[in-house]
Amino acid sequence: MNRTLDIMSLGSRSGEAPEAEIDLIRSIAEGDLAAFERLHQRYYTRLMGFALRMTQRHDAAEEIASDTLMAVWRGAGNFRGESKASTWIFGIAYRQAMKLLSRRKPLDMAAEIDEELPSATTGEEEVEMLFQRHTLSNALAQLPLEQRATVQLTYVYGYRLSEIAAITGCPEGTVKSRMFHARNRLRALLGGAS
Amino acid sequence: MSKASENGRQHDQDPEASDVDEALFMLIPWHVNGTLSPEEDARILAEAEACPRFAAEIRHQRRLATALIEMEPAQNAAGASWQRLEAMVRAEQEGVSMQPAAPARRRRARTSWLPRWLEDMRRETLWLGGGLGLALPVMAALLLGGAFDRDPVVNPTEFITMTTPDGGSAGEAGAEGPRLRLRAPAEMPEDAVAALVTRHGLRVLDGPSTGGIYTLSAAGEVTEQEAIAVLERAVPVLAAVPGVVVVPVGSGPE
Repeated sequence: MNRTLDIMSLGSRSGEAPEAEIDLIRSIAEGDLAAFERLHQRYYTRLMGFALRMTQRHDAAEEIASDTLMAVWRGAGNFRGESKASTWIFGIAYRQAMKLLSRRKPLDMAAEIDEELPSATTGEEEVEMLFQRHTLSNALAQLPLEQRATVQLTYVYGYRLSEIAAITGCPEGTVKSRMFHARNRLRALLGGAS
Repeated sequence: MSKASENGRQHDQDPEASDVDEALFMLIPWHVNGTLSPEEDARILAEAEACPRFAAEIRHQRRLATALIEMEPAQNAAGASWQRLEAMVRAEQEGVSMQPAAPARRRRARTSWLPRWLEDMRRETLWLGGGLGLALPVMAALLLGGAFDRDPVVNPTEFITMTTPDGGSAGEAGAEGPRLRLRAPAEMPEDAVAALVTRHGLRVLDGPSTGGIYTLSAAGEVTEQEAIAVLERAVPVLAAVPGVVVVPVGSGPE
């Protein structure tokens, strides 16, 4: 499977080679607001998607995405290039999400993701697909946060095992273990649908 | 073929897997997302060829990955997000910190004669949100506060901009464009305020009130949001606009 949603695979629409992210970060470190806007264009949707699955709430996801990007703006000068920029950025987002979720009361974090619901005119196949997505979304939401993040970073954002270890700040063995337990939990929750 | 596969072991349910087999099984997610080394991929494929259960697990995970990617929620608010971030960056560059869509409080000396509970309630009104729906209560509170806070402790570079939901305030709707309210520090001369707003396409219609509040007009076709954006970019402001609260440096949430 290709890394469908991997940030590094995104090129410019003009067909030019994508701007190296290390150069982008360096420009941001020098206070280049235009470079920051280009980084925002590359990352905002992905950070929102990641944060939304983590928190189940739009307001919290927006807070995480914004805080992450502002942390990049403020800390670009500290980025040494020892990892990919996207790994560094998603690491910030992961920590922001964990921090936010640890300080909010469960009631405040009641899920509010609006899954598309079938209407009277929705075709049968589409209805089935929507219900499957709804079921999968609910199952994902029941995973512990660390497992949920691991599943997202692997399947949706296409990160390497070592990169996920760097993002989540744990050994590779822990990442593999989290994924193993997440898969088993999803299998139990989804039955044959997984 | 591994020993475990020869035995027909269920890879996905047997934690007592041999070292080689378990290691391979645990790598399936990264085989599915295409990030394994060619050597590791080759070992995975060889195992899948030898073991139908292993192959089924790979198919399973591919379906799951596809479903997860397809259900990624679409986000269409990147433009609004960038506007907020840009405003935050510019505010920082001008010495003002800004918090997106988060409650915030200004620290100020207690100068009101109001009972503390009532004063707290009035202050809470200021910080409960950043939407336009709050602009009116905020404005009302500040206008009232003007009578109470005779000597507000404000940073000389601090402004408060407000607007009414309909772009004007009661009885002030005019043909000149949206009306804004700006609260300038008491120390700032009126002509300096006038010069400041004029430089950015705005005009003082009225003020200052006893609370230091000016009523401004944006000319022509400029929308209230554009006018607010102009002012935000021009000066360090404390603004009450949708989704954004700006606070002076050092006056973050308590």
